[in-house]
Amino acid sequence: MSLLEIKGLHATVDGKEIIRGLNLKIQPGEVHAIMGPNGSGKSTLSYVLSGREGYEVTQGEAWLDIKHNLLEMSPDERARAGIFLGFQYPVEIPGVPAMTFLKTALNAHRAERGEDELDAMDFLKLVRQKAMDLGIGDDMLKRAVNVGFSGGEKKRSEILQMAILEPRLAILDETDSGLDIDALRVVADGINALRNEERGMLVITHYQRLLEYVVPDYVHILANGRIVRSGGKELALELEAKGYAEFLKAA
Amino acid sequence: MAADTQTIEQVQALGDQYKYGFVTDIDVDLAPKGLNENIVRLISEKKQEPAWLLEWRLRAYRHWLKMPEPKWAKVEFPPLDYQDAYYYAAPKLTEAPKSLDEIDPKLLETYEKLGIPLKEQEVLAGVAVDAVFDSVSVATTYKAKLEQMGIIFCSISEAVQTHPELVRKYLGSVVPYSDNKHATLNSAVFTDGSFVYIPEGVRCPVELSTYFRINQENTGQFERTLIIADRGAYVSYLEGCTAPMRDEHQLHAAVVELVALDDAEIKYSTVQNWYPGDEEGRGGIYNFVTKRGACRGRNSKISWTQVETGSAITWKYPSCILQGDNSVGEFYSVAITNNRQQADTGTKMIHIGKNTTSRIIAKGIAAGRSDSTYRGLVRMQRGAQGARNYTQCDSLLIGDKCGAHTVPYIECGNPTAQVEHEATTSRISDDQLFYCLQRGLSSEDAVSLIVNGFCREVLQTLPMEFAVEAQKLVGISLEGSVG
Amino acid sequence: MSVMETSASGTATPPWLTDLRARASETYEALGWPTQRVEDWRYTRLPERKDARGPGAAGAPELGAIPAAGANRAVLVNGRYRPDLSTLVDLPSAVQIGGLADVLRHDPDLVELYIGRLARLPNMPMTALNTSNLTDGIFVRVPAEYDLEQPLHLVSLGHGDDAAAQHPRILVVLEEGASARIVEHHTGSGSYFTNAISEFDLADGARLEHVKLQLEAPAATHVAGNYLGLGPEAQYEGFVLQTGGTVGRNEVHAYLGSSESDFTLNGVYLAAGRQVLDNTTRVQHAAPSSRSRQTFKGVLNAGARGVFQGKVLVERDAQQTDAHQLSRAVLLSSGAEVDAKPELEIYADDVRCSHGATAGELDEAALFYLESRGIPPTTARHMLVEGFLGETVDEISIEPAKDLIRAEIRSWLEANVDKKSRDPA
Repeated sequence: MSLLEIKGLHATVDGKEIIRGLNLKIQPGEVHAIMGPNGSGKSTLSYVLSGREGYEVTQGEAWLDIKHNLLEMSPDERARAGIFLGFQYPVEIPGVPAMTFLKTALNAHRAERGEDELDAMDFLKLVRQKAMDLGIGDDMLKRAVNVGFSGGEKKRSEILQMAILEPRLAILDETDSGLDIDALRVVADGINALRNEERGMLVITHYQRLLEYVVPDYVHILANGRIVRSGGKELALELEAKGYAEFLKAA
Repeated sequence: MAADTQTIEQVQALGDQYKYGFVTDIDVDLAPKGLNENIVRLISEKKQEPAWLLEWRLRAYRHWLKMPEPKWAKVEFPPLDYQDAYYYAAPKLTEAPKSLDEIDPKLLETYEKLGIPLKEQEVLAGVAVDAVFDSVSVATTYKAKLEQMGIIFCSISEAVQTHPELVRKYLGSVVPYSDNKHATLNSAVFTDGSFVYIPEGVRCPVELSTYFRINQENTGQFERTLIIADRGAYVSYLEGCTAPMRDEHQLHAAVVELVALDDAEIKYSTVQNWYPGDEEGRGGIYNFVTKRGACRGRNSKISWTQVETGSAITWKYPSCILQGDNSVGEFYSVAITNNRQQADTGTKMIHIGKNTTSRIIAKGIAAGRSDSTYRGLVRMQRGAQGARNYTQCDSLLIGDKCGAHTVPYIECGNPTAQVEHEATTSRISDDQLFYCLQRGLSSEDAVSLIVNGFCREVLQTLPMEFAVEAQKLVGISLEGSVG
Repeated sequence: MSVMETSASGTATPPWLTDLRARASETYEALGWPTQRVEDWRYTRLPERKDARGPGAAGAPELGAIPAAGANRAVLVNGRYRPDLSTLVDLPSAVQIGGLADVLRHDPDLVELYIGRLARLPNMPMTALNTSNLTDGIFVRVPAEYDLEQPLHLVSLGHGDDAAAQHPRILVVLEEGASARIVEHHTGSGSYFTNAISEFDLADGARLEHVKLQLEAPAATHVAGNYLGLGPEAQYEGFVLQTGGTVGRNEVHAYLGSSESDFTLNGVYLAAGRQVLDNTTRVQHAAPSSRSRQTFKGVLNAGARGVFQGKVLVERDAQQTDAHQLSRAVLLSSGAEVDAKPELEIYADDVRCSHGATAGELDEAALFYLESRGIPPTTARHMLVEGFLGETVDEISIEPAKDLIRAEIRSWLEANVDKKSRDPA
């Protein structure tokens, strides 16, 4: 049974078609990488799946865990159903403390699952534990969401949120962008720690670099809004060697 | 380019405090002093205007009689005596000149002194000049070439005769005759000004230019300019103003109307260097001007740039009515006041259409005992979905006897619209000044340098020919402000 | 009028007071009820209540419902001091807190020293109207070097219908080096009209923390003038919350006439329905080296209008002035409007003055980010509004007032902001 199934997806942004007939199946426990040149529709795909306004689906379907018709759900409903989007550019929200944000989000997930709210002490313990693994200090948690964070701190904070919200499917949009090699390793370790038999991941990236650390089960090449080639992890290496041009011709 | 070199040389030759203070001695055809219905009729008759225009003038005149003087600006002056001025002064000519050769050589000499040799420019500079001498447009150059492209560039009186349908359609459509006391007076007694029509899809290949100059004693200047850019058209228009030294104050109440249709763009640049009066505030021009542009069409754009260094009092708010969706309004301004000058200037950006954007950059510099005020309105109407405005107003004070003021009105009636306004006030610091002096600059050069730096963002938007002159003017108008 | 006569009966009104009222009355008659033709009132139409000069019937005020914002509480009902409702404990005899009418009876000279010195009449019709009705109010005097640590809760209750008008008057005097914390709380029931004047006289080195709560009854109209005078090195830290009334206008006039004074004023206004909430401030720097900081934040729902008019005037002698002012407004839905007029008038060159103003909706990217983490849209909107206001509210140093304000914000959000309040284009 598939965790995510996308069938014949078409989507437009400002009236311009960006996704043009995309099909994809992800099984529980699998990590899929989507690679593609700039403008191929990678980020659009992540926004379409998470329900951002302005990304209009004109055709096709997307199902999570068979039962959730994603395209008919609001962004927060999708999130509580288990979709997590790691943003390429995490948004700064002045005035909203990171802890308040995390707690509100976690309790919304728990309520969805019919669980009680976590009390303040347990919540603090949970966050501290997970934050420590990612090298996130208390001072970062005390600040407003992403405000004043460096590029690396922002990405670590995304992974921390993922660790706390425990999604069914994590969509990681250019998580490696703006990271130096040390920061990349910390983030990749964080992602790998969250791999398990139940969870799926969709790693969106321009370069092969991240895939050395987060090794995918499948690699897809996206061009002009369509998957033009799929293969195993070796496809990423082939792409690195040949460049995108080779594959675009096929598109 | 030769013209640039010449302009630069001429500007460099500026020696005295106000080099444009010379008087041309030529025969003048004067209407009697004072203002009444008969004067309005006389002006209309002299210009052989159609009945509808006389009617319009008379409606304006009758309305004007009932209007109070605007009081809200931060400027002070004794009440104007409208009866103690001439409303019509035309250079005496037996018949209208057909070419530059027929023009009174003394007039041409005047222009020469002003740094705009018409002949030279026609050939070299690629600038078409519609020169206004007091009230009547004397010569329009470059006409033939523009005519080939279907561009109409002539005096407004001529346009009334040759293109009455265009004038009738657009005159008063942006600034109605009842708009404000000064504009209403202009509607009643305007004598000349420029008319520009750029037809659909045409990009005007040269900068169109008018040089205004007030010559006659006690004549107000009431020119009226109307510029229409049809669909997809583009035009850049330059306006320069100077006036000779006089002991009395002279009223200058001009009106400029711009209309931009779909995808059209109008760029309107002004360097205003009217006589500012002497150190004690005697004499100088009252510059009470109404300038407004309507972005009627989708994706249209109107951009105002002004460098205001002259006039005893400046009262002027070049504005944009952003009706068409995605239309753009811009206002770039430098206003410099010295001695007893007063400037109350700014803009209005009225956002009506969707996704309209506007940008305001205003730099006010006050020295001596002067007062400089920025006054601006940004209004986001209910329907201005997704509209944006950014405003930056900076004031610079030179000395502790002057005043610099900022009065923005920000009205936002649409939640998806975004308005952002910032204003700062600063002075030339002793450190900056000393640093320049230590490097060998004179204090006047240092001030000029620093102030030019302060205004850079605005001066950059001026066309080349103007930018050089404007930079020089910045320095000249601040002479004696640091001692 | 009947109540005024009653309270005045039996005591001789000091001649200076008779004279002051007469001058005020004359000024008011000359200026008339403010209209939008007057520049100061261009954005706010004050519904005319000029005939409603008498206070409403003294009904039973519901004090129990008002949360306490301090150990000591002084209460006005329809502008009259009510010792029976006031609780003043643990105060040293040197600290004077009580009814203004009482002080006028026993020590009129003391009142004469201060009253109307800051709340000047010219061009201020509503101040004149209040002063012409001056009979009672609250008087507070903190002696030199004394620190009134416990927050003092001054409550002004309005009560009555359209014909009811009250003119509460508060006079606070902090002598040299004194400090105090005051929560001024306006509330009530009915459709009465409040025209309040508060004067705060801060002598050398005095320090005042002041929170003003405009939580009038929904059908009421509130107009207030807060007049402040700061002596050398005096410090004022103020906060204004406005959510009450159909029309609410709070004016703050600060006179920084001595060097090294420090003025901070922040504000939050929340408006919904047909409300118009107006914050008008005028800070006059008249001596060297004084500092002022202002931040106002507004949240407006459909149909409501917010107004911010802030003027900073720097006089010729006020070199080294450091003044900053910021107005920010969030429009939650279409039909909301904000009008801002931040104004600088500067006559000294060695100054640092700036202002900023922004208006717009909640950040769509931030909303999506929150929603993408599973937070429901309504909660997300509440969080963003609380975040927007949070930094400003956090600065309040009077804890009970801060709690009260947070609770007000939360309940306003509950009542006014759901996901429907966002309407797509």
